Amino acid sequence: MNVTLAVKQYISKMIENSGPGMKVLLMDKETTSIVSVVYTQSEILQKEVYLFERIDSQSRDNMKHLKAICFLRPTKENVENLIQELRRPKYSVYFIYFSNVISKSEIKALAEADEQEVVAEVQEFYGDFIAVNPHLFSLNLSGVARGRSWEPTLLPRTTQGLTSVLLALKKCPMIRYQLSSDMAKRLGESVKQIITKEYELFDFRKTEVPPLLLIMDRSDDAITPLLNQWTYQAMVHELLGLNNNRIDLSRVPGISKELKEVVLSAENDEFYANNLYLNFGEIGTNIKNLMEDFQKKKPKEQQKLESISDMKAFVDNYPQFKKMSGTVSKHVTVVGELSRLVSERHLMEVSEVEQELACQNDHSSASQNVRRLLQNPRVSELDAVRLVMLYALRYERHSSSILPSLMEELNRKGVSERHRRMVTSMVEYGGKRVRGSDLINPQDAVAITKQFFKGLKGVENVYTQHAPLLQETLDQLIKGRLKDSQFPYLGPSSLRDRPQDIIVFVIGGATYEEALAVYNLNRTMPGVRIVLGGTTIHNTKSFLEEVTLTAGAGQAERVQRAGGHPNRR
Amino acid sequence: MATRRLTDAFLLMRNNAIQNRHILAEQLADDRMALVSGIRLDPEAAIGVTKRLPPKWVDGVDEIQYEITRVRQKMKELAALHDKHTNRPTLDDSSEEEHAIEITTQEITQMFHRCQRAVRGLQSRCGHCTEQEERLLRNVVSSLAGSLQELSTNFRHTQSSYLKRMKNREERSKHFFDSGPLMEEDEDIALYDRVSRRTSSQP
Repeated sequence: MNVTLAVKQYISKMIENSGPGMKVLLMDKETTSIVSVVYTQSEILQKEVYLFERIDSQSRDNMKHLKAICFLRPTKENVENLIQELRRPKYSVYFIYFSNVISKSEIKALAEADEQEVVAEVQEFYGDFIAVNPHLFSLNLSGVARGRSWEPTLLPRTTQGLTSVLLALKKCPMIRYQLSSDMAKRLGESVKQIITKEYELFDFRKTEVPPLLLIMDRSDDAITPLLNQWTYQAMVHELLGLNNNRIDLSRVPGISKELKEVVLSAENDEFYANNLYLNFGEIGTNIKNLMEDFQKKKPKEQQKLESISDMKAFVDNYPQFKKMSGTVSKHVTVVGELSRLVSERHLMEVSEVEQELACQNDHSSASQNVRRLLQNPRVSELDAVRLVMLYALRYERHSSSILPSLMEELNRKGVSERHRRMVTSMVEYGGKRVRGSDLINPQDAVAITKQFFKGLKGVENVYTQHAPLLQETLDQLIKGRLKDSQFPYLGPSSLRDRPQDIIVFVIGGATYEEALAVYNLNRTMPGVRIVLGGTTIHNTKSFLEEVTLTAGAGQAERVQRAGGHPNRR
Repeated sequence: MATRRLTDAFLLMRNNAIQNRHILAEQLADDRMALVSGIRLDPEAAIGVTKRLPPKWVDGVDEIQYEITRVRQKMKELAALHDKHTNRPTLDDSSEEEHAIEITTQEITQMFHRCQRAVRGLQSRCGHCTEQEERLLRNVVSSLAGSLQELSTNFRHTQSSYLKRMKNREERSKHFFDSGPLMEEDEDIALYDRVSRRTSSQP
């Protein structure tokens, strides 16, 4: 089950179907992202697609020497724009592909507009999601919840995205949903409705063990998205922001023009493919090894390679290295920037305390450490807030909770009111009252040791102790031990055997840390294939925004029910 | 990957729409108009004849792509000749084969030069181009240049590996002659001279 390959195949087929000759690819804002994460510019140029345009761009020239391949989401706007286009076609022939189901009436409107008879094909190709990694997808949707319910327009939108993944992978699954989440239930029902309505589309070859769709809610584990990360892909997203596999480095001091935007895609970057799940120390070593190998070919002028700045100097002094190694010099810049942020924000100190809050059970030690860091002026506002949130979630019901005093520290530190209010929102969002699962395990010596070694790839270090709750849930699911009382089946039937093909969807957003857990499970559990997806992929910043959007509406809801007026902000 | 083809339904609906438009046109037509069939209500509509011809450089693209296919073909021929020549156990002058190799190699080199010139020429044929046409041309040129670059790298690799194979073979045969008193020393040297000259005369 490989979502990158599935989308790539859809695009390849579109191009193939249109035959030889120069072509233009006509897309909308969302399908542009969908295509850009699976196809590089040079790959697509090789297939004679020489121009890329947006259907909503008004000022396109007539170019009748080009064939047009349209890849569009089935929205009202796109259909309108397409109708205008067909009435005055700019290209010689049109091959139209919608990324999801389109209604008969919209097809009729298009047919009536095609007076010039330029349309050759109309098909549905279900690539309606961002294939981030082969086993990870996102719908790029934020603010999906209002209180504990769906934002109304986003439920059908999410259903569309999720069902397109099922169609792309050719899976007609049984559905299990998180009982404690009403949103999970509604999404499950919505997906089931589509499967029933489009039964012909979903009529796939039956496998011995039916595939399984597991629908979860972010609020069941609000701790994972609050943690700083130390594996490459996750760390880049946390500190720099990874959007559709692109990093915006334009604001980095002294950045060269060609590195203002950097693409990180395992498909076309061997170094990244080998390193995206490794931790920070390992990446540094790997870059260093590559450089040392290169130096062996040039025995004189051996340079020392002891620090990131040494490596940057190396890249500057050897333009041949840059050419030969292609992407490694790009990574030297990214890693250099990560390194700068780690030391500027004292992230190793901060992360150590985060991990303690998430994994250990010593309240007095944790309290002291959090307080100490809050009082350190060099700890950033964001990191101070995340520490207090972690404390609040971890020691929510603790008899000697020092939360009020920590809130005072935040105030003294000058943290904005908006951020301080988020602490309460976070506890409302992901606190004990709403959780259905056992996020905070009762600690004993054995459990602590077990968690300590639950780290990644046998790297037992204090910064990577934490294992996301998802890992435990999937582990139970694979062993056939996931309780029905927690994750009931939608409908009367259930799996008799252990599941083999599993699609996990996190409403409210998944994280790269969870993607790593899934990657490891895929590697170590034979016969099991898991794909993870979410309404988005969070880092702490985007997660805080999500919770704020959710909480705002939630608060208004509750105040209304109590008969008062919602606060004005 | 699941897909759904709506083309048939679309074409049916389009045909219906066309017929309805004709019926409507007939209803609206008076005597004069009825004589002109297939009249469209939109005067701007291109009636099957494109008003603007494609830019001149488009033909250039087809030519270059055709040349590239020919280059690939020639490289295959050359590879076959190389194999045949290096696998021959004989030591006699197979000058015919060598001649063929030399000719083909030269042809390929010339074709590369022609293609590269043509690609460079494409860019200047733009003339009165709009910004979009320019972007299109740039992408085409970039793609063609990339393909040529890849091919030429392959060509260089096959050349150097062929030369290496030839060198190895000469060295092995030199050892063969050195190991036993099969010839007089002078003839030995003369033979070696001839062989090494032949190797160095390769392009």
